[in-house]
Amino acid sequence: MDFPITGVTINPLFLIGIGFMVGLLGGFFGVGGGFLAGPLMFWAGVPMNFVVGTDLAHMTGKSIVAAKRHRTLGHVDVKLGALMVVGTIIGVEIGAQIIEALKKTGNIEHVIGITYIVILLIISAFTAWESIKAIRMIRTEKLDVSEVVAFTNLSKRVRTIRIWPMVSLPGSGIAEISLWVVLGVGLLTGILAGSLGVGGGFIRMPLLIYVLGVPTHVAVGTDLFEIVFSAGYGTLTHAVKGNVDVLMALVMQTGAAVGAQIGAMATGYFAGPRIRLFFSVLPLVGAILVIIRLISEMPSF
Amino acid sequence: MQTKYKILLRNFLVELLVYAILLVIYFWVVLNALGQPLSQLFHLNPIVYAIATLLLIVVQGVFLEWVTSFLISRLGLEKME
Repeated sequence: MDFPITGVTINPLFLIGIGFMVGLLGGFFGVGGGFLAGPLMFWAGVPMNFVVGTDLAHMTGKSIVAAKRHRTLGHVDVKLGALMVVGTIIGVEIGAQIIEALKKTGNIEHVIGITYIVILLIISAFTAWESIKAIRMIRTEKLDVSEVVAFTNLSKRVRTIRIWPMVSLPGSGIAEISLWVVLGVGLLTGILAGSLGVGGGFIRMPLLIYVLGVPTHVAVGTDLFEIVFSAGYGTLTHAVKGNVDVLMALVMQTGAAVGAQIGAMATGYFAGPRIRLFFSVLPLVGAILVIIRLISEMPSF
Repeated sequence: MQTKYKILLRNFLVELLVYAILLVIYFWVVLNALGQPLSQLFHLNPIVYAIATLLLIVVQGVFLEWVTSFLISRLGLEKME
């Protein structure tokens, strides 16, 4: 099928397949899935600028479907998501400025690439360690619960920060927390997302759980709710710059809608620690993809 | 295979089948009709194109969510979640 906006010919079933895979991951883990869709689209012959913009566009649509499904399941804290969006959008803009500054120094690919790999490996190792510990706790202590977090020190310390204004987040089971902490988490995710060129889902999800103390299922749903707005904002800015092929995004979205529904429903079949254990593989895959890209760009001697 | 996984698989297959039929209709009707006008808009007016992009994505997202929810309730799949 010809896509007149990008001027490339791609089998729509391939795009639907990418959409489905990314939708499934998004619905289950609350991530955008750009780290997987991007390389596959590029491999299929989509120009790089269109890869970034089109990916964001289809991510917006997919997240609407998945977030709505999670909302039905009671997994979305709308108040938390709305507050975090503010911090995220400011953070994305700061991240974009960091990119501009790094461009002037040169060697941007390696600086960002290595930073990205380090962050992804830390997230992957930490989440795997914590979730295995939590699963063992459930087994040894014979706990009949779906949610146990083995690392709660940080979220407990964060709750002791009492900088006005304090907000309550009943949807996440948080009685009182400083608004600045919530905005800070959004800002940090936004900076990382903006400077690393990713949606930030697999950075935000662990931060919601380990820093704010949000239950895993709610973290997944709220993350998706937040992605609707942050990816929607990204779609608009990229579309104005001519980086979005909406026809391609619409085709991908049809596959993503099915995957997102299935992924969201599947969360109901797994306990929080197990979802986190599966999740820990994602950043590892992301890190491997970046390592491959960096190696392939190295000059041969 | 445990019952809950069988249910998950059944939900997936039913949705996949219905979506396959809808997709064929979608490709022939929607994309053929929208392709040329959107391509022209992309080259002539980026701001209107950006707004149209976001609107189409949101409308399709809401529509697909509605279709899936409708299917789930009509086929009685929600009772098995």
